[in-house]
Amino acid sequence: MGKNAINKTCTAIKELLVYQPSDRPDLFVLDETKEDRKKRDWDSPPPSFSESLQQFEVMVIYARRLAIFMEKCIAVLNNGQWSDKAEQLKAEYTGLEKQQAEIGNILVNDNSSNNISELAISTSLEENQKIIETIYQLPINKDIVLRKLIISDQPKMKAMLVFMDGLADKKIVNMTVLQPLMLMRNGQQKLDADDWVGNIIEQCLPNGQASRVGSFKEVQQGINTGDALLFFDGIHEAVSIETKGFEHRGVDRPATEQSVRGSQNAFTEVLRVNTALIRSMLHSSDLITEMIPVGKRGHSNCAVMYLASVANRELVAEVRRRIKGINTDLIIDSGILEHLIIDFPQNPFPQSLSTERPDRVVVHLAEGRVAILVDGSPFGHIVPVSLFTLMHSADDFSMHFYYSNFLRIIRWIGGFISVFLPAIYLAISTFHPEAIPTELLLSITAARAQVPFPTIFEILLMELAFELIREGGLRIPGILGSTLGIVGAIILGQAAVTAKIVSPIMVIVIAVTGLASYSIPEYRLASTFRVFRLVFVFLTLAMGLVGMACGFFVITAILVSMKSFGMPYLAPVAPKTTPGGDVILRKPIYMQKRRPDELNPQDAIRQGDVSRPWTEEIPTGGDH
Amino acid sequence: MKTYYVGKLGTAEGIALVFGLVVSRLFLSGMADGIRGNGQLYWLSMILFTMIPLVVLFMMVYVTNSVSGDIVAVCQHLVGKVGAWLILVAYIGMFFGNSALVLRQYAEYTLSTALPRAEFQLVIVWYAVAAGIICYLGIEALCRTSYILLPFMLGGLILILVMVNPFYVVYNLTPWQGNGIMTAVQSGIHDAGYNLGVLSLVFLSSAFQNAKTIKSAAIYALGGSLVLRIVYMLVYTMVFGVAVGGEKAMPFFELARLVYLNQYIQRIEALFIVVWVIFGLLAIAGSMYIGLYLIVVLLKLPALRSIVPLGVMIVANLAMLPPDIGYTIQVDQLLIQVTQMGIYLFPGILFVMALVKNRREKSCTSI
Amino acid sequence: MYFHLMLLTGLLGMSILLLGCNGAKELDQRANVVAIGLDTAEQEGMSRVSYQFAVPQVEGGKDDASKGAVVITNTAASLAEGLNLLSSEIALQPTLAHIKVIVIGEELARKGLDKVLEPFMRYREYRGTMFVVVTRGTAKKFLEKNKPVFVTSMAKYYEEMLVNGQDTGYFLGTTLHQYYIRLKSKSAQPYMSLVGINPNSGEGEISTRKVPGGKIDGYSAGDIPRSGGDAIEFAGTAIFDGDKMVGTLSTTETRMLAMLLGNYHNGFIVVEDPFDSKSIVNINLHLGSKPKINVALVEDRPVIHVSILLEGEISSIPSGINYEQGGGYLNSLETQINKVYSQEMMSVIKRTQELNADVAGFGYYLRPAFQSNKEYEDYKWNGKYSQSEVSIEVNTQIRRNGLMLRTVPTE
Repeated sequence: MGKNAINKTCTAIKELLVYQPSDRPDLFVLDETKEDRKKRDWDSPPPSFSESLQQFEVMVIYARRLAIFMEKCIAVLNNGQWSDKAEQLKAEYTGLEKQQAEIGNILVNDNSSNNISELAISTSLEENQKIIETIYQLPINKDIVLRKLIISDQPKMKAMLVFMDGLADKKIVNMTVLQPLMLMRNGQQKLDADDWVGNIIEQCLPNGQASRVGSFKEVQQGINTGDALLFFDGIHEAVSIETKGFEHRGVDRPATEQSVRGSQNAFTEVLRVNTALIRSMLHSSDLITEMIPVGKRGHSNCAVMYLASVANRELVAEVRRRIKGINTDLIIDSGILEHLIIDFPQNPFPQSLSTERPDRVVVHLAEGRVAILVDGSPFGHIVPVSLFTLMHSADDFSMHFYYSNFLRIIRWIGGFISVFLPAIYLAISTFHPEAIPTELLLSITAARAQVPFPTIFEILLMELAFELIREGGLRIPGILGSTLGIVGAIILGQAAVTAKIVSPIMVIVIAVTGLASYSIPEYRLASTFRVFRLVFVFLTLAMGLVGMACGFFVITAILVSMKSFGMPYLAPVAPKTTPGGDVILRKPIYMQKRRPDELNPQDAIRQGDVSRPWTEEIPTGGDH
Repeated sequence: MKTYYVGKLGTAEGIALVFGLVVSRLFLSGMADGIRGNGQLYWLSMILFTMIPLVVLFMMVYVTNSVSGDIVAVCQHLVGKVGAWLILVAYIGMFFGNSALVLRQYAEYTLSTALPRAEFQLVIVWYAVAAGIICYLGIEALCRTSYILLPFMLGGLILILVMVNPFYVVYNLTPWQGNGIMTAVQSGIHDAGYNLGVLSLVFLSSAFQNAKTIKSAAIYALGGSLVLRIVYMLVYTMVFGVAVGGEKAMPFFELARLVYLNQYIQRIEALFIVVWVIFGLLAIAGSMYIGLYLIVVLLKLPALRSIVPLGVMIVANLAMLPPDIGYTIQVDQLLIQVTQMGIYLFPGILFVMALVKNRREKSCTSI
Repeated sequence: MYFHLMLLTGLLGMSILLLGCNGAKELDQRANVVAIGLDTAEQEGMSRVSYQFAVPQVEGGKDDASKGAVVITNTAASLAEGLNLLSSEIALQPTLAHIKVIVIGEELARKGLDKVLEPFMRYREYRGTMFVVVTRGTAKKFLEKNKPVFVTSMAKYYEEMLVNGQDTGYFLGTTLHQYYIRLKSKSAQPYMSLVGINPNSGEGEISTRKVPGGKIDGYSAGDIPRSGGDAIEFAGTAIFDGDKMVGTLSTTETRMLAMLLGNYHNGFIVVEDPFDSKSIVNINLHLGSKPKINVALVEDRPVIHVSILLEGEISSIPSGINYEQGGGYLNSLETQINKVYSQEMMSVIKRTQELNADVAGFGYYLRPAFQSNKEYEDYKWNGKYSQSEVSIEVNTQIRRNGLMLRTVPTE
């Protein structure tokens, strides 16, 4: 008893004092892959030379046995001894099948030493199945569906249907592929064996798009985008049937570019829907959609749309060249594609117009620009673009030109305010206070006298607060969004003033600046202006209005030397070209005769000299 | 060397380039000196010193038309290699000197008006680096920026001239002959160096579209600057009179300070800092670019961008040489007088040689 | 390359920011001077400089007009030295950009302003749009006694008074710019507004007697018979010969000067009723057009002809005589006004001729007669002004009658 107690105490002290390694297993560490592993993990290691030789011998033996068996079958059939030898032949056949299954693996391994995508479709259905299972890691990967079917009774043909669950529309698969093929026996038609695939496509598959494919590369592209692939036993081609029908967001109102008086459609994430929306507004036979796959691992499609009779051919060729010349992993958003193909990626100014409204895309296509859409992104890009185009909004097209010009002027004033106002306030209040009227000066001084921080600190603090409110507002769940706006903006600002951390005039300056930056239609341009606002504040901090003037000049010089796809960025103004009637102010639609000259379109005249011939005719009056 | 695309600059860019080079002196002390010397007849002197460089420009266009190639080839063909070197080195000196003195005077102007407590070297370096950045971006960027901003700057200038309306005293313009017609004519002929910038159109002639562009750009630019100068001088005389007008060191600044419309529109000269800073930068960068371009063309260097830092350092150091503002203004006047060589002597020689060559060629082919 | 560019920009930016603020100061680090007063000091060579500061009122604090402005007086060798001494006396840095008015004591003005006002044209913080006034008494007392009735801000008071108060023509606001231009122009002499401190006793002192037919006496600043309100008042003009003050003009004389300058906007005059010598007629007059002044040289002597068009509106006819009907009655009223005004204007011009102070600027009208500056300067107008012959023609047109067509007699 006592021994136990003493022992226990000793053990307890020992446990307390002596280090004992823990008996928990090690945590997972993400190590780098072994350098010498050239193949993927699930592949078997490449066989050594002797092993290859052995496999080769096995395959040769099998081939010889197969040849002998086939000769035997032909001899038996010719002699009419089928009923006697049937059992024997069947047993031999079963043996051959087993052997083939064994060496199927060898075959696959042998073939996978090359790139598996370069493989052509083999005539053996099992081999195709094995290859598909290898490519898609099939027992593990539950997304692929392999459906075996038998087509008709004369002769019975085995077929295999492969599609991606979720991407393919089950109804279309069932109705246009399975139903006609499996119930074809009702048609009592015998299919011609020559050009089997062509006949199947032309006669048996009531689907709008069916094409033949020959290599596994196309097979993968088809399955990965939602097509159904049909393999036939003994045919070295497969049929790719268009069955795309995955769930996607419907055509909704634009989220970022709302308009009062324009159309309310917006792009969605499906490329075909987007191109359809554009086509539904621009019914021209000249509208060309080129599909270029981009990205090595995820083959997203990128659509380049242009009007062939209007757009400059060299521009289109250049766009095509740049998109084809990208070597990258994955492109999921059109913004990423844009950054890979623009001329000056280090420059924060946007060099293409990004919009989610098809009506804007159509207007720019008609002027001679090129639209780029990426599968999976609801924003399309339009190139080439000038700074003035970025300040247009969709409403300008449908409102009366007085009102839209008035709004344009307000937008430009808002743009200037959002860049310059904090810098001007800093310059005038610290460097040149004589410019402020004396009354205002005394009241500002009275308010500022109780604030312990210098003006630059106030500006940075309020900017930071504004940006925090903005970022927070993006992430707050929708119910609390407006509450946070009110809380953040009003109460925080008011509380900061009452606590004498900032002066009231600073709140006004920053609030007006923030509001002005929301008047800019293009979001990325507003972000650029936000960056330059800080640059100007620091320039003004150093040298007052002199610094701001120098900064303004240098930034204008940088803008002037920028190009967007070969078109100068300040185009109708900087190299003086004939404008298209819509630069800063918009001419009425009946006066917009020319397309913008800087795009160098093939057809420069948009509408004739007299765009309203009805004004020159005599009215015919009522009914005669 | 070819930091511009051959044949892409148009009339508007040419106008903006010459305007920027020429109008910047309007803000400096030259107006006060001129008014003191010529009285109310200074406008006649202005007409003379604008028309003469225009005629000289036409002569130079004729010269470059008759010989093909850039300015070095033209000079070499007409006056030989040594002559070409002499002429071009003199022009380089004139343009760099112009750039440095304008930089120095604008820095002094800044220290007197905008930033009285600033460090002198900081202001010089700031302007020189800003001008250097603009030179680095090329002549196209320079010209196009200037003609985007030029209307607004001119609008600001005209606004000031209009806003001092309550202070106009028309009788200050009388007696109309001022200090004498001969004085005005003499000073007009001697001051032709103010418009040396118009010759930049000839030096950069391969960047412009054709000779007609150069001629029309020169006419519009010099004519416009003449009108602007005369209006400015008339308003200045009306407001201040000849006696007080000759005392002011910074005419534009004084005019801007005088604006007093009501309780709220007064003391606004700080807002016009943007106007004269941009004009100053244009002049400094433009003269620097022409100087660098002549160096590049003379020494047959491959690129202009790489020697821009060198040009910046030369100009900044030249600008810091004079010890005080009085000396600076004296050197400035000296430069204007020396520039007469560049206006009268060199184009005269080249024109005469071109005429002689043409006649000789004509006589050859008339057989 | 990119890294080096970023490094260079970062280092340059840091070094520029580390060079100092280049004279930038927060608004609450500056003390705004609103008015400057200049006086002679007892010692030889020293002057007394008074600065009036505008103290910003914290909202919620006491809204006391006396707290809104503070006057500090330094006795120093010059203006610049006075500014230096200020920095030992107040906590904030004084800034002179918001000065509205420069007040000059009468003694200093009579001694000569040339040396005193020169720094105002050279130092960059002074500007030409500052108003200058001459005060009877000392400027120090003027600034201290100023307690405006309506506005609590001193700056606003000065601006309102000097910009908007000159409608009646009883005083004329002058800026430093105008003073300096006239000083150097050799065609006119400078003048400044006259201000003073009223004892507020209700009794005044007449400077100019009324002319026959007129009913208004002229007062100078500080002599207006009144009581109540702010102690200081703006009335009259100080006229200069060169830079020395040689005399003053009273309110009625200043009104004539305003008409000659084309500056007269709106004022009531009172004349004796032409048909009833015991009663008066009130008329609201303003200049119909700028005065037509013609100066010609006849045998080297200047001959000045002034022609003034006045337009008016009757505002009161106590006698009830029907002047409104036009024709003979109105003409006699107009003749009466013409007579009164011609006399007053002639007396003013005679007075300035005696003092050799051409404040109306007749020399300007002589300038077109000469061909070059040298000729004009050789003529020396300032000496010839006192010998010139002046003739005046006043033409009054009464256009309107106010709200009444006629006065129906009571009994």
